[in-house]
Amino acid sequence: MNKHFSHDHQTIQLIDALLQGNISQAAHAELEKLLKEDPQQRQLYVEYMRVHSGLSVWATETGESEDWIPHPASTEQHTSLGTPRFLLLLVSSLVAATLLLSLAYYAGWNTRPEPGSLIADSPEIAPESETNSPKTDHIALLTQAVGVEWETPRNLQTGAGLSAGWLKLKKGTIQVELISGASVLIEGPAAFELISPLKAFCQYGKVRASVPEQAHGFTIETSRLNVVDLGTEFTLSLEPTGSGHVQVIEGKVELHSPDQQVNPSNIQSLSTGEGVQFDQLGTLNRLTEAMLPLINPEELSHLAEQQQARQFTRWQAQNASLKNDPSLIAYYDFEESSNWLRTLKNKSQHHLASADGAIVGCQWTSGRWPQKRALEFKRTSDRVRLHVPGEYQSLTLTAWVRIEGFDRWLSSLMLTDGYNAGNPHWQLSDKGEIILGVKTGPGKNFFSPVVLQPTDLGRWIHLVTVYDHQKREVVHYLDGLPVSHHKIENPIPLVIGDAEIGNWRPQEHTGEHSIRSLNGRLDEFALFGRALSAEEILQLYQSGKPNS
Amino acid sequence: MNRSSETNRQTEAGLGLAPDEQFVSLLARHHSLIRGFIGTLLPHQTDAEDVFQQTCLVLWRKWNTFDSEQSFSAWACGIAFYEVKNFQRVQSRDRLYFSDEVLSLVAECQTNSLTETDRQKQALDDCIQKLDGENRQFIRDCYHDQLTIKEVAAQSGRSADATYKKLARLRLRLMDCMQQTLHSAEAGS
Repeated sequence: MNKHFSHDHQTIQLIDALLQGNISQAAHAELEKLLKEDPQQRQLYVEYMRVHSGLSVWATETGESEDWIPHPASTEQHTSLGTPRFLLLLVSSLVAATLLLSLAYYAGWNTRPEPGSLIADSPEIAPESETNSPKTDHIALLTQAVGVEWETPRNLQTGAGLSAGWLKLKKGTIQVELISGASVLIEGPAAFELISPLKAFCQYGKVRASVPEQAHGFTIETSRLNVVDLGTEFTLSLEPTGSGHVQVIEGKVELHSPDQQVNPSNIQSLSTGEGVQFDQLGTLNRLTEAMLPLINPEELSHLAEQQQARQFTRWQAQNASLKNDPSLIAYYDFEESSNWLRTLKNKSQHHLASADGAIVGCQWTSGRWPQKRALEFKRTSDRVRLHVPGEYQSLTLTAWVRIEGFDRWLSSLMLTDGYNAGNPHWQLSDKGEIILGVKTGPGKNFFSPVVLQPTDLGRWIHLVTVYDHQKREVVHYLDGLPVSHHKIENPIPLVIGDAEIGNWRPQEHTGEHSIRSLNGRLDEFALFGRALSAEEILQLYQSGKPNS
Repeated sequence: MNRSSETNRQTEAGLGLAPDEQFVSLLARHHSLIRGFIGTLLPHQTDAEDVFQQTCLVLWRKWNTFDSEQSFSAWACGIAFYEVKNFQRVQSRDRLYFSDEVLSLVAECQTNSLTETDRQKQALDDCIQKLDGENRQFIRDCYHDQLTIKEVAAQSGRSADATYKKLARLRLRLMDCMQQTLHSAEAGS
């Protein structure tokens, strides 16, 4: 039974050339002949190809299954069932409802025996319908957000593009401008669904809609009635129970019953100052007295300014205490006193003499708040040059950055010149992965899953990567929360030396991927000579986040 | 009592399932077998993946021709084989492919071992886990279709040639390990 192949190197080499794709015609003919004539070689070929094919499947299953999950909290998801890609394909190709049902059955069967576990097992499918799904088909823009606590997992910031989907607020007020020109203020608690540039659905909450001429016909649907705007401004207030009221501030509004038959008797129109009250059953009553108007845009923008000032003050307090952290190797807060200085001061109180940065090219601009200063990295020559002496068993890299776009495969956060023993390379991929490369022998890259989505472009994000010598792990964080953990097989001390923020000097590494300039803004960057804990990182994020 | 256990047996045999459900259940059970089979016939795994997906669609379309007395894996691999040939015919202008004769010889020599696919997959997984993390990551980078070998090489500072060689060595090592695992299991049973 023991059939041992003495590996025929010739056959294997021929197969390798075949797999590599550069096999010559003669070699191909030779391999073909071997396979045709010698059953043993054929068997060897099959065994070898099984490894090849098996590795391909393995790599896809272990490396890619999490791509479409917006916010994986840990690497546990890597190892949990990798959804075979063909399932997704089948779903999209065969839209037969029966098959979909059967797939649901299969998925339940494949993970756990009890039926219905598909739903429990796939919380990652749910956010698809939320506005944080990775789509670029924005129909609206979030223009203000004051005191907001979101019910959605992702913390949307001012400036974020919004696709069709739900906006759910526990509290606070937001302003949303739809691309039709209509704008709505929404006061939480609220559940509001953007359907199209001219249509939205309100489950509950307080809404004030301003509709310019271009957006006439803008409709807010509710389960009881649809409010069609024909004039300029109205408010809608809706309880979760389904009762509420509509009031016209200015212009004209029509109320339609939600069932599709629009017959004139179902339509009521309201003009300036008029309003109706309605209950769960949809019974309408004219409002006899004016209700308290909702917040207006001026008030909101005033509140937004106050909020920014508060946040900036909170950040300043954190900034002052951070400077005294003895483990801080280099700390750039970008709060330089003049635009003319081309030195980026290291603000760490304990390492004053060294590690000042030299600004090359970058322009000064505003940061997370109008009061905060930042550097803009735009051209491929823009960079901050550093020299960081010393050797570090553990290292924490943190940055507040606003990425405007991924111009190439790799964008630098901080890269050492060249790539020499012990050098860390901290960068982002255009897919949205956070990458820490550490030069140990051939070099080792710790890729986070894809965590940055198109909607993250143009907003301030907090990125942290910890190289923890003691726990032998690398942890990537986004906005204060860990997104992936990676085991370090052979921890080595890290050496930085000459390095650049936002760019790379490749030295002898020429050719592909040697340009890695950042396209975006930075307004805070710190290097700690120790591994920060998850609590400390959350704290850094909490006191530095730009909204709420 | 007896009657109820009989009903259970019927459900287990798939008689209780609607035909569509039966298809999905069978495909789910055999997909790695079919994918592996196609993988041995096509050197480029992106091609193999494409053909596999195409095959799944064809299987679904031809599902009404499936005779439940037949073995699903044999039926599916038969269709997969035809899809591979079809694929080669359309593509063959710019690449070298095996003749249909060699292809069918290679397919044939797998007919007896198809039933062992699950064990083989398990053995490969175990062997991959025995590699050190760096090699595992290296394989993942090489086989993950987001990166080309050149990119993997550039990332690690190796030449493309050295990268190919390293990958070939790892494949050989994994094949040895798989054979040992499978043969020792045979000896043990």
